[in-house]
This record gives sequence, C-alpha cells and structure tokens, in this order.
Amino acid sequence: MEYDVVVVGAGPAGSLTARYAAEGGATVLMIEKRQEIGSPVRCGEGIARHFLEECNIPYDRRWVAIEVKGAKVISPGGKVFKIDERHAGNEVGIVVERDMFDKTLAKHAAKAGAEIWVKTTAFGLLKENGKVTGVRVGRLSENMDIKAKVIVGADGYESQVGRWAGIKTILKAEDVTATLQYRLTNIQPDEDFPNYCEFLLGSIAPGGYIWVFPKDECTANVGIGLSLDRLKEPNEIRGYLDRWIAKEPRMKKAQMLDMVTGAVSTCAPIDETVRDGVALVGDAARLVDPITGGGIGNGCRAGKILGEVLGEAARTGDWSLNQLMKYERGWRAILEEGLYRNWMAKNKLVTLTDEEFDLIIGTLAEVGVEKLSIHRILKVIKERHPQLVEKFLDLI
Amino acid sequence: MRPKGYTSGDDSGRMTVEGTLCMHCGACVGTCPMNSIFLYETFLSFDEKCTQCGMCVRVCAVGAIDYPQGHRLSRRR
Ligand SMILES: Cc1cc2nc3c(=O)[nH]c(=O)nc-3n(C[C@H](O)[C@H](O)[C@H](O)COP(=O)(O)OP(=O)(O)OC[C@H]3O[C@@H](n4cnc5c(N)ncnc54)[C@H](O)[C@@H]3O)c2cc1C
Ligand code: SF4
Ligand code: SF4
Repeated sequence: MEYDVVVVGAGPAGSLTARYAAEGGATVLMIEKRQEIGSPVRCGEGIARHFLEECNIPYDRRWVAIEVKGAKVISPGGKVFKIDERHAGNEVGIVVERDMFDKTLAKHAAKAGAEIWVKTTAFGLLKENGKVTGVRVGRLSENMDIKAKVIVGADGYESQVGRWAGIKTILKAEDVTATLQYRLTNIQPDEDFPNYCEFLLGSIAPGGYIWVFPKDECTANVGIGLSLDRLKEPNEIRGYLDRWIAKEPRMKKAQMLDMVTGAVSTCAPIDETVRDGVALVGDAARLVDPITGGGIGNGCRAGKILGEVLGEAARTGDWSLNQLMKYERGWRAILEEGLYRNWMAKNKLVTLTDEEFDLIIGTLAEVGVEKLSIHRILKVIKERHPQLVEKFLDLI
Repeated sequence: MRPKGYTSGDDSGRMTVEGTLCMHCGACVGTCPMNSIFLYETFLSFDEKCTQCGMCVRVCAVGAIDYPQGHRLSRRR
C-alpha cells in the first residue's frame, strides 16, 4: 500500500493539511485512531474569526454554537477589562461546536480527494537510512505497513510521530498547561452572559486561567488551565475548578453536560518541525499560543501551508527535505515571532500577584486599548504604573 | 465496585492506570519526558524507559495514574 502523504490525526491541522495536499495533486490518506472524528470534544471551542477566510473555511451555522461580542478579562479583585466588537474588530470570537467543526474540515479533505480511515492508530514509523518512508498502523484487527513519501504528524498534544522521527518535542513542566473543563448548563445569565468569552486570572488558577465560554443562553464551557510546575499533588486541578464554581453565584444551580481533560503546550517555538520524510503540524508541532492556550487557528493556518507544499511536491516530484523546508519557513514567517513573544510574556504573567493583576486590568479597563497586542497593552500600563512594567521591559 | 488499577500485558509495571477513570485524553502521553506512555485508542501502556518521575500523575486531571502498589508514593492501599 502506498500514498504520497499519510496524515496521522484528523483534527483541524490534519484535515487542512490533507485537504490542501489532495487539492494540490497528492494522493493522501488521513488516519484517525478514534472511532469518530471530532468526538469526544476536548476543547474550550473559542476561535477568532480572521483565520477562517485565510484558510478558505466557509462560515457554516452548523458548527457555530454562538457568536460573542468580545472578551472579558477579569482580575482577582473583580476588575473587568472588556474588549468589545468595536475595538477587537475581526478578532471577535465564535464559540464553535468542535465535533461538527472537525467533521466539516474532514469533509473538505474528503471532497478534495483524501481517503480517511477511522479507528486506525499509527504505532511506529518505517525508516530507511535515516529517512522516514512510511508508517505502521493498526486498523481494526489488522496491522499494516503503509509506504509514503511524507508522513505528517498531526497527532495533537500527545504526538508520537515527531518523537519517533527524532524531533525534539519534549516539554518542560512550566511549558505544560494541564486542563479540566465542564460543560455546565442551567447557568443564571447576568447582563453580559452569553455575549462574552470570560478569562479569569490570578491565584484562582496559578500559572493559567479559568475560562467561561458561552455555548447558548444558559450553557458554557467552564474550564481551568494550570501550569504543571505549580501542581504538586494528584487531583489538584479539580479542586481549583470546583472551588471557583462553588463560589460563583451564576453557577449555583448549574449542572454538568460533559467533562473534558487534556493538556496544551505553552512553549517557545521548537527548533525543527520537519525531517526527511516527515513533518509536524498543529499541536504536534507545538503551535499553540502560549498565552491563551488556543491552537485551532494556528493549526489550520500551518496545515494549509503544509498541504500546499505537499501538493507542489506531488506536481514537481520533489519530495526532498529541501522542499519540506518551505513549510518550515512558511509557518515560521507567519507564526514564529508571535509565538515567541507570547511565550516571553507568559513567563512574566505567571509571576504576577493578585494585586498586580488588579492594577493592570484596572488600568486597561479605565484607559482602554484599541488593539489587543502585548506591545500596546504594555505601553498603556507604562504610562500609568511604570514600576509594574519593569518586569516586562525587555518586551517593549 | 470500581476495579483496581491495571497493569497491562505489555506494561513494564512502572506505573498503573485505573482504566475506569481514564478519559483517553493523551495529556500524560504528551507530557512524559521519557516518551514512555502510549495510548492505543483507549488503551494506555507504560514501557520500561519510565523513571517514575511523576509528571504524568500530576498532569492527569482525574487522577487515573498512580505508582504501582507497594511504591512509597502509591495512593493505592
Ligand atoms: C481543555 C482544552 C481547551 C481548549 N480550548 C481551546 C480553545 O478554546 N480554542 C482553541 O483554539 N484551542 C483550544 N484548545 C487547544 C485545541 O484543542 C488544540 O490546539 C487543537 O485541537 C489542535 O488541533 P490539532 O489538529 O493539532 O490536534 P487535535 O485536534 O488534538 O487532533 C489530533 C488527532 O490525532 C489523533 N491521533 C493522535 N495520535 C494518533 C495516532 N497514533 N494514530 C492515529 N491518530 C492519532 C487524535 O485522536 C486526534 O483526533 C484547548 C485544549 C484543551 C485541552
Ligand atoms: S492524562 Fe489521565 S485521563 Fe488523560 S489519558 Fe492520561 S491517564 Fe487517561
Ligand atoms: S512517571 Fe514520568 S517517566 Fe514514568 S510514565 Fe510518568 S511521566 Fe513518564
């Protein structure tokens, strides 16, 4: 059995890669170990709008849960910094139905000509003289070797493809965010619910934050991310989330519709994402934004680039490492600087005390910023509280 | 009664997982610095590279992973 490209993992990054590679003329197989693409959902489901057009993903009501007016960043002392439509422009978010969203992206890949197998797990790479030449998979009761010019590791946070290929994707504890999320319903709306995605900072979530992303007028994804280096005991994550929910008046009578565990990387860009015969994309390539923990948009954008590079390889017959390097340069050109800057900023944010969060968010609430960039925010704070910005000076 | 944590056939016996708690999310897999854990669909296994560092225990939000019975840090009595 032989394909030009085998994509391991049918998340957003995998489906975009498969779609654009197939559209470009490559023969593509995408495998997914779960029995259903997109399910169970392991995500807060908040996305920005801007990448959809860039990746040619047509807006479709079927994967939209709700469109919000903006974001609310809330300090430990209750200061609220609202970023609304007027200021956030096209950054205003959509809360998606991830199961439908992922299936839609897989449909696009299928329509472009990619083959898709579910309940198929990759469990090793085939190599010849250091070059990756295929993948070993288990499909239902059958094990098989599949040859390919390029194996794409789109296998998410847990990615093995990169590690099998010798690419360094190991994370330090401070660059791992452990997460737990409940979908809660019967939430009592307040004046802003369900119109904003909420981010709550401070010692309620050491090294991370609590999020409330509305799904409808009484339902929301309520989750927490904590930096792994702050966790000492097993089961600590749940204690943090449950304690916060218990104190939240809106959630007194809330009930759980589902529960999600998982982890995201919050690291600096890794050194390499391609080797001879293999490329990593999405969470597998550690493309998650280190501040927000969001990875859908970046995964889609990088997936498109990788797919286009693979399509071109199929047309020219050039499957060399040199050709794959076009992908490496391509994603770095649009993402690397931002990822690095946000990683630096994250390392400072995790050192802030509750009082400092109150001051910063209070200042932003008073002054307002037109554009939500680290640079802009720091400038505003520097004018009011120069001592606070000292920690961040190297970022300005 | 909840079954006790299992050590699978291909396991090294370094760590155990309680199959009925595990959500198959892969958080432990991606976190393991030794790349010792593999999640085959819904089946978690640990190989002999495991150094019992405990990162997987802490990252798991449902407490599904534990040291083997008899280990001084085991929560299983
Ligand atoms: C609790 C939580 C909340 C989040 N909230 C948000 C959010 O609000 N917004 C946002 O943008 N991002 C969020 N993220 C991050 C987001 O979920 C990821 O960035 C996104 O799913 C990455 O897409 P991907 O295609 O790279 O990988 P994934 O979506 O993880 O897909 C990888 C796929 O590969 C499959 N796979 C893995 N190994 C194998 C194998 N060996 N063989 C075959 N298949 C395999 C997996 O089953 C999976 O389906 C959140 C993450 C978590 C854990
Ligand atoms: S982190 Fe916990 S729930 Fe997730 S796969 Fe590992 S053992 Fe299972
Ligand atoms: S204890 Fe450490 S080395 Fe062993 S499986 Fe867990 S994370 Fe990996």
